[in-house]
Amino acid sequence: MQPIPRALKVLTWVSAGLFAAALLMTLFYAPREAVMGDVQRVFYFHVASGWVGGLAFLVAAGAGVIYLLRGSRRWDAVGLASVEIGLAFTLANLISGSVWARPIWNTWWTWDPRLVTASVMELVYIAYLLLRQGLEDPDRRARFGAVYAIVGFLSVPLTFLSIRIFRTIHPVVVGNNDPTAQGAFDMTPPMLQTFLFSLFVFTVVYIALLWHRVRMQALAEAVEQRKMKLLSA
Amino acid sequence: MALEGPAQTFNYMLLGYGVILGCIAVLVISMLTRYRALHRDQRMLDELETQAKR
Amino acid sequence: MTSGGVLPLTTGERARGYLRAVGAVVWKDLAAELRSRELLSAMLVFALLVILIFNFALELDLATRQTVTSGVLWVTFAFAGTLGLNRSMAVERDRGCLDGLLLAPVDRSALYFGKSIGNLAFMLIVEAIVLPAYSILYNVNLFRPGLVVVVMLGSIGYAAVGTLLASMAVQARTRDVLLPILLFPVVLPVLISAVKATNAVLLGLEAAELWPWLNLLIAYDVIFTAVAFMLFDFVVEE
Repeated sequence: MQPIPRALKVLTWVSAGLFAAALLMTLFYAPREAVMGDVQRVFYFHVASGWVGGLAFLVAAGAGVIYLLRGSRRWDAVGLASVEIGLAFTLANLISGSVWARPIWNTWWTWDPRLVTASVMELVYIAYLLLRQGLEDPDRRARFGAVYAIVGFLSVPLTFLSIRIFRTIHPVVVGNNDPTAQGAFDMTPPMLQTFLFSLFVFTVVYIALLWHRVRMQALAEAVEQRKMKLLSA
Repeated sequence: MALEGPAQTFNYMLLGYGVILGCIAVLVISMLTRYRALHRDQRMLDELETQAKR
Repeated sequence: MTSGGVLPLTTGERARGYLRAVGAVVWKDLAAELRSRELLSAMLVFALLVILIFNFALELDLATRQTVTSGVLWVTFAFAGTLGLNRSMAVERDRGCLDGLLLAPVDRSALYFGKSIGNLAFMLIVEAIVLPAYSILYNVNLFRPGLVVVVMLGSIGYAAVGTLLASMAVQARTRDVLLPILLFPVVLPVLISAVKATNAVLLGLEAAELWPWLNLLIAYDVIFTAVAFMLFDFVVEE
């Protein structure tokens, strides 16, 4: 197993540092929101998690396309790694969204387009992993994973659109307040800075995690090959 | 409404942060655990291979 | 085909050959089904049972029935459709027909179109029987011309994506449970649009309520037929 490349070591430390900085920024630099109070601070990481979830999905679909065209196993690793990471961040997005909704709209769940779309995305992620799990042949696993990542990725915007139209024609009031308000608040400059910084930091963290996971996949496949050789010897 | 000040949502804030940090932590820990297992497997394979050669 | 293996085929000959291949696959499935009728009877019985269960699961008084009909119908079609897709692709695999078809000197996509048209046909047959049955059992008038269009568009989208995903699912260990898990999150836009469009048609709502859903259905059908047709090759290579 090759030692961790210097660039990755640096990136890992940098992302950890940036993450700590972002955490402090959301807790102390950003002002407390006038109406919602402290829970609004969750918004910065909540949206950043959602952003990473979407980005990861895009990367998985793109990696799928490249894998189908080129056949290089490295791209399959990128797809798998991206799905795993996206799964975790989308879950963070969903549950934190629920936690935010509770004090604001007095309900644990709202059927608004973004939350539902995120849930569907999460289900597609899980289905991707279950599909791979049910296949023995690694080549088939990679190919089918790529196909499903592409199909899944294309369907999600359509899901969002259909629920959006659903809402426009039939605005259903869930909970006490109008959910289409999206817990709207005006962002003052410090809030905007914190928000953008959080997005940036989460992206950096995603790249670091992705790189580590792809390396781990290479190691896993090498170990698997050695096991096969030893068993057949 | 303006006189009341912001809502008392500190606990929810803690829960929200906890959830997000928790999910990321679970991801990182699962990766570390799997890494360790793979390194263990590698060392075991190294031993087995040197044994087989003898 | 007119020319032998030596001279290259003209475009016209290739097109005719392609259509013939598609037709051959569709006919194979339909003819086999006409003889055994096992797939259709399974789908039909299942669909009718689902409708029956809904009768007890939901208190369908007259007022509720109006609003809930389109949802009940499409859930039924979705579940019965899964059954049909699974069986249709499993049959290929089990009987080893897939290998034979793959050896034929024809574009793989012809296989895709053949299978999905076959699957679509099965769905439409089941729907054609379930709709009147539902109409009679629940005393709801389903004879609206728009309904045929909506059911058609929805079924096309479902079969287009379902055929691709079923081809993958059937090659996995967990084949029976895997298809719904793969299919439902992805086919959601079709189901949502189909339910809303059906609702608009049945309640006689104005066109502005119906058109967005029809547009979505058409967009979905086009996008996913194109995508599935391009990706199918990767799913059947051995």
